[in-house]
Amino acid sequence: MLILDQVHAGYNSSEVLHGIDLQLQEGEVVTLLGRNGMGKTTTINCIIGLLETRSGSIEFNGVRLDLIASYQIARMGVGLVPENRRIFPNLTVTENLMVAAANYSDSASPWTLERIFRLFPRLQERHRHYGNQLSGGEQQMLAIGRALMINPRLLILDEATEGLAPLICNEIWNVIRQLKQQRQSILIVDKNLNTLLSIADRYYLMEKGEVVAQGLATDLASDNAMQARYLGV
Amino acid sequence: MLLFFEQLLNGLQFGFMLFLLSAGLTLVFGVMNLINLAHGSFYMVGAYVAATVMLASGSFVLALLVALLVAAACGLLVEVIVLRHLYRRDHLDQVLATFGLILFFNEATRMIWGRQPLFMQLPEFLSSTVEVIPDVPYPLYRLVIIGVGLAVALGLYLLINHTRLGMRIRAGASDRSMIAALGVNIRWLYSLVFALGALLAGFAGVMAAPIFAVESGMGESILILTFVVIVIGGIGSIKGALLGALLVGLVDTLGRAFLPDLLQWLFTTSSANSIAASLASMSIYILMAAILAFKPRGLFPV
Ligand SMILES: Nc1ncnc2c1ncn2[C@@H]1O[C@H](COP(=O)(O)OP(=O)(O)O)[C@@H](O)[C@H]1O
Ligand SMILES: [Mg+2]
Repeated sequence: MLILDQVHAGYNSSEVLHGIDLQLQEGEVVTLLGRNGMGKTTTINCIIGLLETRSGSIEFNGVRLDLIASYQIARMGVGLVPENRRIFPNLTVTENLMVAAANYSDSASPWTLERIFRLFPRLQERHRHYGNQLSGGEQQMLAIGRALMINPRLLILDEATEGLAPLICNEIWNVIRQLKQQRQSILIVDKNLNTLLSIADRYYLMEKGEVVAQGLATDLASDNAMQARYLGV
Repeated sequence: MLLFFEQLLNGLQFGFMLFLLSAGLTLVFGVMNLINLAHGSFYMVGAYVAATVMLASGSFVLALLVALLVAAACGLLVEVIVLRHLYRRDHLDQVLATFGLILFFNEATRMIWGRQPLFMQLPEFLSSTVEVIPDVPYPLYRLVIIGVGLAVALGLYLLINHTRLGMRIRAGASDRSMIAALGVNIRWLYSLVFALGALLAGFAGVMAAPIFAVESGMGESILILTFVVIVIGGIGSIKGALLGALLVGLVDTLGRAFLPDLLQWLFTTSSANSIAASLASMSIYILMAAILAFKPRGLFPV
């Protein structure tokens, strides 16, 4: 479904990604691991078109994403839950959910406001509040709901539990598990290694802009030496 | 007292005209972060086209429709050809480029319509007077301008706050790349907003044509007032533009009408007149300074 082939990218004069190879099949949950500053967010930004690649290619269901604009990529069915959530502060909860709503995967049972509210009852309680009146956890739920409302074929989550209270984190992990059960394809970045590896099918491990290891999540879960070496845990 | 009410209406009418101009400017400035000095040119284009079509056809409605269409089309062309490339540039570049556009539009109108100002006749159905205040006949047309301004304000409010397009405009104003990453074609959205702003400026031009002389450069004097309005109101805020426009319209009109009389209590007639004249032309800037002293980002910061 998604194929990154030797993707190079960077900011200004410095190159941050030095040839990333990554693949994700339909229905898979793949996680991108690595310490801070290794290039995970940069990789995601290349996929969604927020950052131009310098060379290499990104293919999604046979279409070259690196050649088209960000909005066209989303319309191909790539839904982003960005780092730092980036909720629209001047839109209400409902508006944040509706502003870009669409059915880009031609789903027979598309996401609706009601379904999102069932997934995150907190959002329903606060549906008239503006984005900037929400707690961090609520903003995160909203960011996930907002991405689901475009009915993505591939959902990308970048640090979706960053800085949240454990209870809220659990709620979000539960939702991600539900999504996986519904065979939603997911590319996910997170710090919470144990939970992450219990959900993901496969992992890619990044160091300094390169993929240094990859494999089955279960294998990494039992390989403490590897975890210690690259992730410092 | 009657005179006061009449001037109050005049001030409101002028304010609503300023609002038509400011609404587009504040949207473009607030949403796209673009300073467009050429906004007054769309006002001029609206006035010229309306006056010309009116003269040729005698139909005010036709003149209005054609003028709105041409103003919006000019806006769209300018956005696609020139301004689209300026969004990421700094404000100085934008000021220079759009100043160039002013020169272009002024010269173009001179080439097409010549140096003589045009005058636009009002159709009969608009040239009567009504007695809003008993025994003081007031031109119907000026009341129509107030009505149009109110209707546009309401329409814009509904558009911005209660439609999908409005949501996207607001979302784009706060995080442009995020709304794009969710599948919204922000370029097209910007073109649309810009054309809408140009259309409203053209509308103001049509409204102004029967009142002021239609001449090359007519956009610039009013543009300055328009900038005062959006700074007072808070850049990007339609509500602010409405309130700011009414304040500026009222202060400017009432200042010119009543300052001489008021100052006569303090000074001799001749010096009162000259002081009043300069004070009146400064009044809106004093108003702006006073408001910014308390609310540095305008009445309704966004
Ligand atoms: N906007 C930016 N401008 C310049 N450098 C950046 C920018 N964003 C990230 N970087 C640099 O790129 C590298 C990778 O960052 P990032 O992809 O955010 O890492 P991660 O998401 O894995 O923590 C870091 O060295 C970071 O300093
Ligand atoms: Mg990151």
